[in-house]
Amino acid sequence: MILKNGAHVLSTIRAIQDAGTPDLVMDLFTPFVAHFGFSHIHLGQLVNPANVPTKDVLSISTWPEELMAKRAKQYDLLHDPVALGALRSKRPFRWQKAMDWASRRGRKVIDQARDYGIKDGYVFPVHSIDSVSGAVSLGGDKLDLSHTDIAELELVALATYARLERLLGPFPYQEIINLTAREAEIIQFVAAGKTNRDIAAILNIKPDTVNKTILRAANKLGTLNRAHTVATAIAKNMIFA
Amino acid sequence: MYQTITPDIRNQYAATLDSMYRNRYEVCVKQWGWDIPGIEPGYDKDQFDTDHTVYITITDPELGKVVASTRLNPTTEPHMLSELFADYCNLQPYPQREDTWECSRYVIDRTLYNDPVVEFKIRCNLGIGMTQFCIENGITQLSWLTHQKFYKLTQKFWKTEPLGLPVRETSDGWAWVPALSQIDEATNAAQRARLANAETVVAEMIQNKAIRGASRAA
Repeated sequence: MILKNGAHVLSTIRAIQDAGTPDLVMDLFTPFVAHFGFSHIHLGQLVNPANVPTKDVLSISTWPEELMAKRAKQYDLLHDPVALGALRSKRPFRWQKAMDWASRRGRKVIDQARDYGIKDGYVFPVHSIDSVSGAVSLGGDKLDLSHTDIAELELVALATYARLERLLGPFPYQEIINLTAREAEIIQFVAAGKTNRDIAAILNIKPDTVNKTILRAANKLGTLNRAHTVATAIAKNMIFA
Repeated sequence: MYQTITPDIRNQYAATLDSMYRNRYEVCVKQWGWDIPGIEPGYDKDQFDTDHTVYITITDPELGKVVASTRLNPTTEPHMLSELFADYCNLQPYPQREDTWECSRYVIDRTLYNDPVVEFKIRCNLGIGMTQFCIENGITQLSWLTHQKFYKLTQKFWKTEPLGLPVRETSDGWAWVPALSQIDEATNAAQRARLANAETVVAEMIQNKAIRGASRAA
């Protein structure tokens, strides 16, 4: 059965695909999401801002400039639980959900947005075969969305992201996950039940280096904890079972 | 180079098709973990491998087997969207038109190649074979049930619009989106240009892989 709002979703997507400039794309996306109660849009590729200049990635925001400046200065993206969740989640989720895995610093990042009146929101992860992952984050207040609303928003968000990527790209592309030899070696020890301290002693490196290497591997694999990282690395034939 | 296997020449390519069914099982079932009802173990041939189906295959002469393939079905006959996923098409009806065919089982065995340029060329050739068949036969649109990641990719290479909202019914949590893509000469030219510049394109990918690796440092 064709959805009641289906024609509007389709016409919006078609208009976005035909829009010739990023401004026109945003002029179409903004009122579409406003209808669902969203007043702020923040979208882009999720890469480490300490290593890749913002100019080299897709990054568009209608958030307050002062808030954006603060976030950039403090490298908040690295701690933002919404962004970290978007890297790992296959489905849209409410910002509130990200508090489940937020660090203390991460909670501050969310609270900071609240200080600017962006109290609630949803994030729509964007995954691709040939690109780094990204996300479309929508902020608002007093949100009450159905599953259908979220799915409609997801499709239009994906179309918006794809069109902006096309108009503003090319950006650093191609997601090819490969663990480095050291990452694989350390995950192999984790799989053998070794603690970070054990591994550090075996390899004659600092425990902190071990921890960072495991985190880096987890980021690459999109995994949530040590067991998940080990299981994924085995499944991808990156380490021995 | 690709091989287009239309129903009228299928008998000449029985061994190729046999190899293709085995390769599809290897990739779809063993590598991707799909649960395909009603197929024989080791052999992915189902009810949508019909008398009307056209196959594009890539055979590796050194390995002596099919390493990539896709399947095209006319939407004027029963097809996956009409028979299994009609309820997914809740933005616009599934297509039933002579100029629209359904693409399914777009399969490349990526585990066979260590050289990314070789794998990239296979991927390009498969896409070119599919596009070429469409252009030569007046097919202007392809419908497919796309994986969340592939849907994003289709938006990059073809003008693609959804037929329905994303559906998440499989245990892995990924969404599937029924979609419709426009096929034209521009698509064909873009794919051929990428193939002609394969080394350069892949070199850029590798370079960006390094950027990505650095960018994700914890």
